Amino acid sequence: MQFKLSEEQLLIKQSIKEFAADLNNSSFIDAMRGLADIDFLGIFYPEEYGGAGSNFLTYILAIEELAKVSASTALGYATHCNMASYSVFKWGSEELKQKYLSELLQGKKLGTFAYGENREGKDLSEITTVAVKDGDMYVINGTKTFVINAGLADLYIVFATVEEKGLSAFVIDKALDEVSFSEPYGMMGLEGIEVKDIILEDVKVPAGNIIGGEGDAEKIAQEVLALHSIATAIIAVGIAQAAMEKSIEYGKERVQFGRPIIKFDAIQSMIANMASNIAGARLLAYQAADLKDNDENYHLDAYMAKLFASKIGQETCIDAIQIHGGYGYSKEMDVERLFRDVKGVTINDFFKKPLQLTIAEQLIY
Amino acid sequence: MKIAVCYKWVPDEADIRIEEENLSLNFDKVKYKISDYDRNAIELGATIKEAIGAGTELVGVTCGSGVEKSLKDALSRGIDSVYYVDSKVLADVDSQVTSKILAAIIKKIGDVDLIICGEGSSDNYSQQVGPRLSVLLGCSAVTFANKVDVDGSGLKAERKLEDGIEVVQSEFPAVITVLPDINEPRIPGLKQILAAKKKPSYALSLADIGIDDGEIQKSITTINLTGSVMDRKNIKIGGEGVSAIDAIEELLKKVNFTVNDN
Repeated sequence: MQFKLSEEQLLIKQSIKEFAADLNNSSFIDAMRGLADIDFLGIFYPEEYGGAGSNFLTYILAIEELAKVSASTALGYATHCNMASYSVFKWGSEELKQKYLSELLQGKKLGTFAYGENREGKDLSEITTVAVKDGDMYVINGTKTFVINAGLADLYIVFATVEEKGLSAFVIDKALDEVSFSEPYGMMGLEGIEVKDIILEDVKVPAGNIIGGEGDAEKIAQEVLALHSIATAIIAVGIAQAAMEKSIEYGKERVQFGRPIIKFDAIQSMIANMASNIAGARLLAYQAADLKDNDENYHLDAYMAKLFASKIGQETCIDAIQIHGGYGYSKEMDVERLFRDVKGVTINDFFKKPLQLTIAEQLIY
Repeated sequence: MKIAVCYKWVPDEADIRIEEENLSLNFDKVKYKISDYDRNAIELGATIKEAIGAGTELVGVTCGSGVEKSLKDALSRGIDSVYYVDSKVLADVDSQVTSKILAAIIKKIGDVDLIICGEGSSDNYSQQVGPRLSVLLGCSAVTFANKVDVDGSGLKAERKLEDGIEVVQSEFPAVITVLPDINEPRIPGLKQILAAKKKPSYALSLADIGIDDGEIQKSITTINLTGSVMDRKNIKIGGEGVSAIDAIEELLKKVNFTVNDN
């Protein structure tokens, strides 16, 4: 199998690279406005909803370029595109799509995904947020934790249990009075995005805002999280690529024992391992995206991409710090931030069991 | 109104490696791009087209060896169509030949009111193509343009000179060469990139534009091209334990500067 990028994909990659060059000087919201201006919020969505009609592989090329400069932007962007927008696109009614999807794809509304809860982690079977049908409305109560861009986002895909029917997903608009937010969590990395809890107290949502049907949310979560695994895998790849490039650059400048440290076998060995691992992880992510584009089952490949990219992303950043020596451990150097950021994107998004077990389950049963 | 923008497909300088042994340039991993200043020229063309609106045609013009690969990039930046000559005989030609080919293409297109070029290319930066084009096409040349306003019959431009700004006006047809500060070239949007494949491009042979292969004669030949490397002297003036005078003396010795005691 070969992933030879088309001329268009190379131009798209170049375009987003030019855009990303300035990312460190922009707020997340400004970055999203800029991405909307150059039509990057709807890459793999059909033109009839305002998308660009391209594919998921092209989309992850864009994520990688963003992640090389700002993992925070890449993660917020992915959460908007392949979690919030995708949920509405794939399972929303036509009315819901008309109401929200175009605005999401044009960047007029920012979306996010709220499924985890406190203490019980993200195990969907233990979700305590409830939705009670009341005429043509649902009344929702509960707290969702660790929601990316909570407070900033306009639309939230919220998971709540409907009695006797099971887990269900709803689109909730921030504009509703009964929606409130916690203070932001102080995070180790990914400082460009805010993570808060969203608190729902008797939030009344039109019945039409349900995504799919009552009890459909587990399958929605499974697919969205598989898709998001490809996104977070490629973010880890982007971070690792940046760490390697900065290591090479620094290795050429830093002179020890009369020659640039890049000339030393030990450093070259680390660079070779980094490059090989990054290439492998990138191909896994491309493969999963390609399966998705061809309507084949991509979940196992997506999980493997995430597992491998998480591992090599962290290893690469640790080695990058090692190559930078004491400076690498200081905030003077970008590799310190890359190390903190890569940890954030490798946190397991899965809700039932560790990622390894999810992969193993698909292989042995 | 018809506007032609000339652009050059150049090696990306970021990919050029300088060999340590002899400072020769290694182009093995080089990718090509539209010359940086020509992006400013394209942006000016696109802005004028948007401002004037209906009836304005923005045509890209280029020549060289392998320039076909530039088409989608150019077309995604606001250009309506590209006319080009892609021929191996045009590899490594000088500004005189380039101007001759571009002028012939522009004549072939016909009825062009305004020709926009970058002030120089990001590889050779000879700054000759714009002025040469104006001679070959028999029209005025406005160089060093940092601001341009266009109406139906001509243009008004601010020329940024070393010690002042000159404001000039010219009737069409005219050639204008632009400085990088004139604008911020847009980043091609996804839809523009995807739409580029639907835009027309016209491959022309040298014969199509009335030029024989034998006419491709360079007047300037590059004898040697090497990179320059900053040679650090590693002397810290005001460093611990060494007086500034001693450090400066050491520096002068390293740069072979002879101090005259008188």
